[in-house]
Amino acid sequence: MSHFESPLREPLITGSKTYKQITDDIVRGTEGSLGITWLLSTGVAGLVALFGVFCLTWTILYGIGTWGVNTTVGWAWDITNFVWWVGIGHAGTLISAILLLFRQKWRTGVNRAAEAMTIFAVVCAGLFVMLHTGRPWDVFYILPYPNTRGPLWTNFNSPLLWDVFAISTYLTVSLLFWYTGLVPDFATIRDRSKAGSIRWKIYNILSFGWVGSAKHWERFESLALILAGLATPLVLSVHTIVSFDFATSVIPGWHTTILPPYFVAGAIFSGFAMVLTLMIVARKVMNLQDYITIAHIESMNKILLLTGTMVGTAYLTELFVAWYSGSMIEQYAFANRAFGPYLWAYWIMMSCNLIFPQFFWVKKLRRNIAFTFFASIIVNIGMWFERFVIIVLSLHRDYLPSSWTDYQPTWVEVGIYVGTGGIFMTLFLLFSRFFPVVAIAEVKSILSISGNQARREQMDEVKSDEAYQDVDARLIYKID
Amino acid sequence: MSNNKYWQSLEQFEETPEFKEQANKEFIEELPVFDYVDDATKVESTGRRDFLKMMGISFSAAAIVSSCKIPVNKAVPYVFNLDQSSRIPELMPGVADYFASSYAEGGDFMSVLVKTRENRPIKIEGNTAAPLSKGGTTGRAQASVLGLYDITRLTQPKKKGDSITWEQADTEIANKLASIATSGGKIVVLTNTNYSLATKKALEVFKAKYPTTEVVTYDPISLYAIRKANQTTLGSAIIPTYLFDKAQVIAGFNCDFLGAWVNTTENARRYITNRVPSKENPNMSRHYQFQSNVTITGSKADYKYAIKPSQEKAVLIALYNKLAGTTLASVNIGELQAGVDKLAAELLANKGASIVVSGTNNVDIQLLTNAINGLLGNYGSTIDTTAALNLKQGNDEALKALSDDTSVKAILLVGANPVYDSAFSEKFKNIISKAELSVSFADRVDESAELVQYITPDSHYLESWDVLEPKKGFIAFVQPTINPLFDTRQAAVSLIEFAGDTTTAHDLAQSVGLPFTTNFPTLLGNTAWESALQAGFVASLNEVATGAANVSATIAAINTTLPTSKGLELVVFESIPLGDGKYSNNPYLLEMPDPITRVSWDNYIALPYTFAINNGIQAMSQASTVKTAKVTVNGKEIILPVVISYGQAQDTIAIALGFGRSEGVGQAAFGAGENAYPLIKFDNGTISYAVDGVTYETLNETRKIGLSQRYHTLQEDSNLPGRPRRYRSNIVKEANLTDYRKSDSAGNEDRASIKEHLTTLYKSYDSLGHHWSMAVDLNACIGCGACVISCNVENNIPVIGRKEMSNTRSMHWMRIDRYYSGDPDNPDVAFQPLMCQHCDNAPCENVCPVNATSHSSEGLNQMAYNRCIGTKYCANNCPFKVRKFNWYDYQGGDAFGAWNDHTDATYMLNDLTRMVLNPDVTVRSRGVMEKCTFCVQRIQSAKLTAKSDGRKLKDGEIQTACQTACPTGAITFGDRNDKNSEIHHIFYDSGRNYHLYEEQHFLPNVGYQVKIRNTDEKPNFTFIGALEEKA
Repeated sequence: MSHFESPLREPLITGSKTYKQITDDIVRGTEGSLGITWLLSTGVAGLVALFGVFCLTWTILYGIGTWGVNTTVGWAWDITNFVWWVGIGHAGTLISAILLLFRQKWRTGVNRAAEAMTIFAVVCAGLFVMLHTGRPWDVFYILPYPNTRGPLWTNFNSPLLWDVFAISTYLTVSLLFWYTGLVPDFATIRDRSKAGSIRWKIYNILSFGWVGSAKHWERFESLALILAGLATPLVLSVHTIVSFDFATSVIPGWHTTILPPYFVAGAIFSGFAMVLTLMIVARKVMNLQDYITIAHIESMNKILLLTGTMVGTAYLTELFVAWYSGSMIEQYAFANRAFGPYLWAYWIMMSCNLIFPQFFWVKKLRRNIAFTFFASIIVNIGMWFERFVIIVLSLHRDYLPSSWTDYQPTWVEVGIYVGTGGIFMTLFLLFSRFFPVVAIAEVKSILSISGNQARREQMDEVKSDEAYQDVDARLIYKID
Repeated sequence: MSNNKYWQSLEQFEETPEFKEQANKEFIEELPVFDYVDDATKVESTGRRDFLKMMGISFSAAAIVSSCKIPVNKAVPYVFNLDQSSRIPELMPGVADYFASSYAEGGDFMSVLVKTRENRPIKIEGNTAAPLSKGGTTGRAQASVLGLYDITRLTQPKKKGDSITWEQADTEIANKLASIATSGGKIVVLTNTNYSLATKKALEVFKAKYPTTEVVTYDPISLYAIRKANQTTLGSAIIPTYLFDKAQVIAGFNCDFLGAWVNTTENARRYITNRVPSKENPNMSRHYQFQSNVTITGSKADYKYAIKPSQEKAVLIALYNKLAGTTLASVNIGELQAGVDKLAAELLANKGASIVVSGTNNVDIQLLTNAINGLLGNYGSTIDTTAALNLKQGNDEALKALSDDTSVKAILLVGANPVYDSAFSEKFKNIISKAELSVSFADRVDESAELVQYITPDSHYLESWDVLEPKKGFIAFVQPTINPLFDTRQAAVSLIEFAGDTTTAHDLAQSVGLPFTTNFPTLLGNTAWESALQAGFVASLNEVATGAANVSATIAAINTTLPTSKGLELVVFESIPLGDGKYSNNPYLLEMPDPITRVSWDNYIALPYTFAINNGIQAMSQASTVKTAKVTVNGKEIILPVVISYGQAQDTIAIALGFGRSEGVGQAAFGAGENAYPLIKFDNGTISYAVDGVTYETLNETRKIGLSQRYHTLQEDSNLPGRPRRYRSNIVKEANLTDYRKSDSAGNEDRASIKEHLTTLYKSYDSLGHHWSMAVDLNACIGCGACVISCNVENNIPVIGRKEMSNTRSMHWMRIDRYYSGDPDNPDVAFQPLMCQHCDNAPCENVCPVNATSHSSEGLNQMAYNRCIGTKYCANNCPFKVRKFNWYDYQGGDAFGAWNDHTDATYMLNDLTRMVLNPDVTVRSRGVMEKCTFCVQRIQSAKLTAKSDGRKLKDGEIQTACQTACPTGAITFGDRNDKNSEIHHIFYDSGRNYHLYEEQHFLPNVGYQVKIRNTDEKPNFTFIGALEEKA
């Protein structure tokens, strides 16, 4: 892993850590008593999750009639939430796969948590795929398995079917990727615990008998690369396919070719925002500031700025294309978004996703934790509204004015959404307590080149060099 | 053939006595009938619950045994060939029998065919052979079959709420009647218009026995003034037949002659004959309408004017003045004069070929229309006084006199419910409570029956025998299609029983003595009787109108004093779905949206547009939650939700009748709207449905109403700055007659270029064999909604209730969209029936992940309910939103039955009501999508018949449910690949045909024909005013 890195780069691990300290810092979170804060927050999250389960049960018992959807607006919060959760799940693969291939070292600090978040988000998204149907008990019809129903087979023309394949593939690959990375770290935890104790046994099973031999590491590295290669197209394909649900339809506002790139950018946008929200809390609560540094946050903010601007460009392009197409219904669909009965939703979307990220042009704000936290939440609100705008605002005004309606959610729909938040948080809290939140092995791998002590040494080496005479060393060391 | 005898058991081989005994039994085990019945019931009279239990057992037993016989052995199925030696066909399971019968209600009469399956009536069809309605029906006729299976119906006679036997009822009532009659006490039989010869005969018998009897007839919605005026003009108090097909100019004054007047089904058929121009005959009559509240008739008019009820007389006088060139009285009608001048000029140009009608129950107004018709020479040319109608015989003055009569000792309510539907509710309450004997023949505990001593429930018309004479020269029959479900008895039979006679209903019908014996000498013979019964009618009608009017006497009788209007005026009107309210416990009817306001499940305060805006009502609120208001008339208050009725006259308020029933009327009707009958008043010899001196107050409350169309125009509401609001004129295409005469494709000019640009990247397939298609003529559609109910009944469409309707989750497979254009204060109206368009390039089909919806080789878009998992993707992707989702379990077709109480619509969840379900159509469970199938069960059945006959299908052999119900023939269905079919002709030869959003290449199999208005002006599409109010 060693290569030359400019000493000017900000260190990715601060606090002059040793390898032992890294292990201690990260594994500490999984050891000791559970702690009142964790118990309380998990309890609250669990209750919210239970309420979600209650609302889901209510839906199954009474029917989708308990939701606010109607004949004209057949999808609303259900698919909005589905797309939103899938979008959130995008940061994980991007960080673990694409950033790995692009050798972005800063990913090591956040990839573990981002991957976990991906999996939990996809689980929540999957719930909506199953339960937005009228007969969830028959949902297995969607799988093309050999059956006794003669010529009845799934419809391979349907984007919804592609969705099922895309999401399940994504979940599988993400899970593998995540778990593979966890194996050496589980072994670390195992090795720190009392041999033969229950804890030891559990982590022994989880680590698949990892001993850290060179052969293990070689295979580990190869597998990581292969999975990264496999996962990379998924980053693009999953949300592309989700966007096909809309793009291949005939509803004005859905039927646009710009949707795939726009959805992928939006997914990365919201995924990073969610990683930021979680990591800003986690680094503080779990004392991981040395591993998830301001540099990490700034990098992610740069991605927010980039993808936010891409999404915003897509919004404006849609408006332009609607005007340029000359299509009456297309023009109306966008006029209705911006100036119709739900214009507030459109302008929330516009301001949260296009306008707000522009603040990140300012370096000070990029490095401001409070502002970043606020922005990350704003972005996720904006991205939720983006999906709401696309789904509800396109459906409620389509071809025949006679079928135009409005839509209002019921407590059941809101409950399910809030409940998936609870499920997500419960899973994440369990993860943060029992799994190493930062990839120990990977962080260690960059300590010698990106740790702040390494930077100091590199700086000392080059200090005599004339070319670096003017460098303000304070910039480099101030983080210490 | 082997002679081996196989045995199934040792017992059989040995022929043990036990085996022999067992073998002779029909069921191995005793049927557990009595397990379900408590001990008291086994010996004593049956309670209602036990009765229903018994019913359930009997029906299932009957189904198991499958040895059902035709219920009434003398009924003759319509399709049965009399030449066969056996008169009574064996029941063929799975094959429908049709019985000719008649549906009479309110101001309407229809000859119908009753479809029975396994002896259950399940559908009403129009009888195309009958001369009056010629196959046309109304929504109420279509829904009447559900009324048979109403759980609220009484199951046996009642005495003060307790069940009694018929013997007890007969004895006690006859004894009381006898004692009252001997002491000279007054006996009153109060009926609604009844042209049943059986009842007439029964009343004769009754009167002969009890000479102190007085028969009073009234109608909840009375047209007494027409008869009274005709007494002067024609010399007899009749209602003539109006031949709208022979008129070139039609002028209606507050007269909904297509929807709610008298003889509307025949009127609609005649009217539309001359309103659909074609290439061969590019002509149509011109229709003027002066109306206070918006009606479907007014919506079909070419020129319409909003008048306050108090203005009607002045307008008619102005018209008369203009026509006669004299001054009957000097009137000033302001802006309306221009319209009157235009109308007068055209009437004069079409003397003897015009009709002027008024629906107002006011003698002076009726005399004025008579005078105008007389002046124009319409009697004997467009008005046939020979074929006088027996509909609407109610006498307002007699009702008034009776209500003031304090000497009534006995009152028998034969189909009448004066406590609910007369202007004298309180007085009748008094009469009923004071009478020594009060009997109601109601089939349920209605508002009047609540108060009477005895209820002797009448049977449903599908369980009865009757002979009706709706029109002079036309006799129609009612025959039972099922044995009475409950212990009920036809009113005519009850009357005869009370008179001590014992004739059965059937013999009664035969003994009525038909008045045609001279024309039909063989009628008295048994064969003739049966063939007449099979046809459903006998007629000797002459299509040539006769009659002459005494114009001078008419004019002399007119009181020309103009009414002075005080403030706001209220119009109470007959609702199109519910009529006068007699059948308002029918959930199909309650759920049928009003054709104009598209509101179901409630009546409402309809306000004119400008007035509403001035009173703080949002014009295009687009929400189902609306404000309520209070209307006060003569100290009586009514609080109802407010709905804007665009085109209603300023300073008028309109409220529909037929709502606000009591709890005893039934689960569906109770709680639906408020009763507006108390607001009507008796005025100058007639009952007036327009009242002035009304105060209105918008309340600070809101209510959810079942609004099934929230956006009312084709004009878009929001716009990008700088982009003009567009009108989607490609949805309802319109042109005027002048342009149509110039070009067959007027209003449809863009179609040529659209067709030219239609290209596809995909391989297209030749359509071989059948290609089912439907054409809807926008000119012929009057928006009455009969098709919607017919579709409901045919296709087992669930009723979902007010709450779900307000959530815009209507399950109707077809709906009639109503669009406004023009001035919001007096807009043009267009109706557009919309069902699944069966697109050949259907957007719904390719998005279903499980292939639950697919295309047939015959052009049908099919649904496989069992395969559907309910993603709703297809519905989202449907450009026309005709796919309907089962949000809840509405019909008990679901494994989650215990949970279906979550919907407020449980009307279809009991076993009795479920008997109406069509066994040919799957009952859909919760969570699946459904939609119009083009009545695929009818297509399949006709194909099978043709196949077993070894012949090709004939054009017109397959008729969809909506098509058969339509009184104006607006719907055509057929195989467009058949070059000789009507649909082929419409699709390929008519310039009027177009498809929805053709440029999007959905390739719908439903075509619409351009709406042609007979106006001098071009169609005006803007609706700006109302839209701006929204912001």
